[in-house]
Amino acid sequence: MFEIKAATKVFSAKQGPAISAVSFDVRNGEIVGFVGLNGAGKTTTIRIAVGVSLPTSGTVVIDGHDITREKPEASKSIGWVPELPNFEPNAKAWSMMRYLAGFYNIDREEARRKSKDLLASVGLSGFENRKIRTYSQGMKKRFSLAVSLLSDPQNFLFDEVLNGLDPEGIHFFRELMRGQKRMNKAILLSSHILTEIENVADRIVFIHRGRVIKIVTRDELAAYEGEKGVLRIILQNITDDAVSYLKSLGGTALVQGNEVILSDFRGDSSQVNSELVKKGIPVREIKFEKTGLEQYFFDLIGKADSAK
Amino acid sequence: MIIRPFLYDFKKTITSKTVIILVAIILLISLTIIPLTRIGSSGPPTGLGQAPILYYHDGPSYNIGNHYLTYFTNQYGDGISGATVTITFQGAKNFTQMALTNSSGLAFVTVNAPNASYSVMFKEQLPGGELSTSLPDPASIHSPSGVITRIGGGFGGGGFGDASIQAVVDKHNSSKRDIQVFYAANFGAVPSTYTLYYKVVSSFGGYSCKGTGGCPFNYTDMTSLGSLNGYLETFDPTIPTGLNETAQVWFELFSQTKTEVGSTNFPAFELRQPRQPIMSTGIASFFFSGVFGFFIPLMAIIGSYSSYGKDRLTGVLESVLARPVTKRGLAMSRFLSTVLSFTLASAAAVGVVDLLLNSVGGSFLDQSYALAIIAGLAVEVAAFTGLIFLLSHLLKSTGALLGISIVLFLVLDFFWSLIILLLTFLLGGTSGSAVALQATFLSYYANPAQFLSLINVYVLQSSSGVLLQSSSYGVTLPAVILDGILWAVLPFLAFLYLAIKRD
Repeated sequence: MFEIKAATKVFSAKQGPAISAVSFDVRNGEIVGFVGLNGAGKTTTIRIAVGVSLPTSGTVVIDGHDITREKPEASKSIGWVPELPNFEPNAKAWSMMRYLAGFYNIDREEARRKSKDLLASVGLSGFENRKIRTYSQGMKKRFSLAVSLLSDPQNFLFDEVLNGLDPEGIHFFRELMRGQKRMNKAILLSSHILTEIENVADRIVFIHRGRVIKIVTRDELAAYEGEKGVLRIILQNITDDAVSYLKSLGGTALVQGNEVILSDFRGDSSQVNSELVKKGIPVREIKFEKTGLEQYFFDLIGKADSAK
Repeated sequence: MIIRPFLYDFKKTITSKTVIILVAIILLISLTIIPLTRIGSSGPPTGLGQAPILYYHDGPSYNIGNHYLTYFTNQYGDGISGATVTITFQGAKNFTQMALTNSSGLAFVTVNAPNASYSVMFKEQLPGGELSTSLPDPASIHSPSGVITRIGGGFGGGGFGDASIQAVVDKHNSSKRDIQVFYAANFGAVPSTYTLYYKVVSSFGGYSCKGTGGCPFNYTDMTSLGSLNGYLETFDPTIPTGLNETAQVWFELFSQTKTEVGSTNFPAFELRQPRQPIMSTGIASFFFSGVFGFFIPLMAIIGSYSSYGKDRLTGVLESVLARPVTKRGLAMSRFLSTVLSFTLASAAAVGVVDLLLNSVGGSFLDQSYALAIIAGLAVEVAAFTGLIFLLSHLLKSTGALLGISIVLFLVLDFFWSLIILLLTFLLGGTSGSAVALQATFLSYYANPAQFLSLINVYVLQSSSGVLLQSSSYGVTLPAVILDGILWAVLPFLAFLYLAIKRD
């Protein structure tokens, strides 16, 4: 497991902190989603957690080892796949794997065997002797994943790994994470693809403007999703009476031609239909969509911004 | 710091393709001394020159017989047999006599001629060529019958008096010289009662002759080197080490009655090293400060960019930093491996230069000079590596780093002399003046690329072939050492601080 404790990072005094007192943990056997807008501080947090960036204050403890004070020990149990893996472009995958294996005290023969197996496991068989610069972005991510598995670490930090991957690649990563979770590993997954987070995460950490604004469990999210949603009503003819009634149902109403979209709707859609019919407003179509993680996220952001 | 990852990255850097290529280039650069050694070794063929000639007549006047005794040897003092010696008396009547040198390199020529005035020509023919010189008219040599008079010089002059005392290269150790004495007893007899003495003094001047008792020293003040047991005798004097550059060694040959019959002196450093290495040091110093001083900083800049700067600025270093290694460990391993690679390559290049100079000159560079040059190169490599590593933490892109590196190289290495000259002019100095020289030497302190020049000025006490006292211009040993330490350490420490404390 690893724990981020009040991590703050200030790049420039003029711009304010990139992240501020970020605290959360990722336990063994758990996948934690890490969600935030661009520039929210996800990558900064992850870079501090893996030890390539120093926190201005706060700390990160990896399996009992402080990443700043006991870097070598802490790094042994970290597997990091960045959004844009950046290896020596002119190195061949095969030799780069063996070079990096040396840092983990893996002997030559073991490094050979592991490199071969891991490259095969991430689907890079046949590409071992190609220079890394010839790899596509997806291949680089697979290679980075193979590297992160070299030491069989207890903790994984995946930063936007799903970006730019084809469906097969996304499926591969998803299954890999689930496999590692079954092996009791701690996994932090940051992603813009919120449906993926919804699919795999046990908990979700929301970060906005450098601060953690909410941490929810899968159950809490499910409960939230159960009572809120988006109601889409397509009328035969749009009238002031109809719009006025729909707006009175609460939430935010958006009118687009004959369609009225009610976000944050809580209630029974069939009852709305009955009411409209009673009022003599013909309804062509009425559809209720449960609110997902995306809506939950936007709600959180909206609240955080308005509180500010 | 965890040692194993440190050593692991160290090994990886030192064996990287770029570093190996740059090291090979440095070694190739050392070969460019070959054309310089050819220039330096050109000159007259060894052994050809006016040989020392001893003369006596068996009077009562010289019309009975004029006897000439001469010899030819190679640079080691071994006799050259078969050389032809021809002496011609040109006057009212001409007389010519010819002789070949024997296995000891000696030739005896007797010219019987009537009492008259002659123009005497001496001709020597050796495998390396032939040389004709004129000798004094016997009528002008007022020596008693049978008494030996030296009338010919030879390489090195042969010294003062009638005995010829010259230096030759030691056969068993070409880095030192032996002393060869050529003399004959009265009536050309083999000398057997003569003793060679020597004395080491701290400077050339300040000594006065003591008549026949010794010039400038009496034998009682000197150390015996041994007796003369033939016409030619070679002696191996022990020259103390640690003498200053002005130290002289005097040699005097005394007869059994302790009358001096010949003397000469040599600078002590010449006896430790034959003349050729003095020339070699000149070529080497020019080569080291000119060629190495130019290329080694360039190689260090390229190597540092490749081993650290590029990786740091493109983010590649992070893929390594995410491994179980500290920032300090990674920074130090990259720095030390880069410096060690190029220092070893530079040392090897100095070795190659030394071997090449030895193959031409017959001896190696002075060990302490070679070591000083290697230390200077290490300082230059460390300074430029530190500067480039430091810049890679201050700049934001590889383009900016390359640009600044090129500017750094141009200013510190390429245009430095011009900049200092310009500043000297602006401050009212003139080229070649003492002020300009001092400004130039002091500017060396401020520039790591000129550190080899600084070492050359201090060690050789000369600049561009002109002898000088470096301390008069602010170039002293403590100052040079302190400057070297500062250049080797300060950029590195600044870099290390940023590498550890900043992202």
